[in-house]
Amino acid sequence: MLKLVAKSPAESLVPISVGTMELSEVVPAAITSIACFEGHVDALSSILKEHHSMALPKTGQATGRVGARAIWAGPSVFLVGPQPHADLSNYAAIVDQSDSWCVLNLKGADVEAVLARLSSVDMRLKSMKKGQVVRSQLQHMNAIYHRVSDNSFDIYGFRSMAKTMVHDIDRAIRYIASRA
Amino acid sequence: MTTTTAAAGLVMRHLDFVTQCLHPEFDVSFISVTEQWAQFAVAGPKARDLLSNFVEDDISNDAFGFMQCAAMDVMGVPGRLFRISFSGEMGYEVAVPARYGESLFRLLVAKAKELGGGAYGMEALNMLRIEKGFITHAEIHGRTTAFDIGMERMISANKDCIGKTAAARPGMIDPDRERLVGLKPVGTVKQLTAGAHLFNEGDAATRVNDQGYITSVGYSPTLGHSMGLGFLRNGPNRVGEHVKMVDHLRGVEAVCEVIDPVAFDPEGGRLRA
Repeated sequence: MLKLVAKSPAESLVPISVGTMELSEVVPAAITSIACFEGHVDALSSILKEHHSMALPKTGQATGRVGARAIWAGPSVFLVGPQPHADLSNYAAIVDQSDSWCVLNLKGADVEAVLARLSSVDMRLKSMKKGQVVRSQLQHMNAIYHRVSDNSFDIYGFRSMAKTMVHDIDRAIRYIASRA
Repeated sequence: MTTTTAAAGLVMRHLDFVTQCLHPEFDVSFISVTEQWAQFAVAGPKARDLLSNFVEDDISNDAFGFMQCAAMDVMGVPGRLFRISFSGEMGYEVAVPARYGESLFRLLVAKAKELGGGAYGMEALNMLRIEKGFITHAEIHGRTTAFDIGMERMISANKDCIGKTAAARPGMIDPDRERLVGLKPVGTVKQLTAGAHLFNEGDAATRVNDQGYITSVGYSPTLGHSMGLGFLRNGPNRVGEHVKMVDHLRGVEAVCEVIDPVAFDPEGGRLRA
């Protein structure tokens, strides 16, 4: 019998390391959209705490830790990493998004300057705290930015646009490096 | 919900409009899964033979008829199979999670070649759908109605829907509206051009005499001639008439016969084979 081979969104496109900056791929085991039913935020948060050890994130926030996070994603929350516990569907609409996103990690001393070239949102480290999330643009396409630590951001973009996403970030990194 | 590729964003926008503006009280949420799936059309008389290499389920015509769809394992991966066709041929669309997309495409093409087929491009697909009278956004460009494309029966008589009242206004169901037809060149010039306008044969090709326009064209090896789809005043009642196509921009003029937009397999036997 023939066999299908899986490919990650940014396979063979990263890692990239230029100057102070590094760009690498994050491949979560699963990404699940959790859209809370009306009036069940507390119940849903309890289930998330019980089974995944993290609270439901508030607007513009993320909870959890490396490998198991919940990030605010606008109309819904994304559970990033673990397979979703079945009880979550008692209080929310659950949709698999595991193959929908290209997740890249951008980190380095010049991260502020690189981000400023990608999005018009103020993501300077003094403005955007660790654990904060914004939905914005990455050049012309929609993206989600999550500051995961001091100078490190996870960036979520369209899987089908992974090559463009890497290209745009790569160019921003190189522009900044060339000014050093 | 799955929808036509090019209008997926428009459908999503419409759902947003309905839930935010018309029915904010609905406890409903939705998210796009366009990125989640890699989907390929498998079309042609041997489409079923080809796909039987990829799925273990029974996909015979009796078990999996035209317009059916199902969740189905594709080589051990949870996928989806649709018995739909935009080519007019026996057709399927097979979907797998995007991570397997490239792999599935390579294997489909390799197996298709073993059967004497291969990958087909947008131009081939375009001609196949034109000769079958299948519309795209060249036809439903925002100024045409269900009535204009001969699909007014798709608007349910039994329930209301957005746009139903507007679609029933006299001006929207006037037989003299520009309505979908097929066009075949019958004069010395055999070329048809999309964007050209249509005139009665004896009339000057000026704005006031405008009878309609051509939206899609191509040369059909199956029919042995060029064919176009277009919109012509009172079109469906003028099958067999000659009209004059004039393309002022490219300087092309051709005499056309008005034909049924479905020029190939009008009974749809190939789709249901």
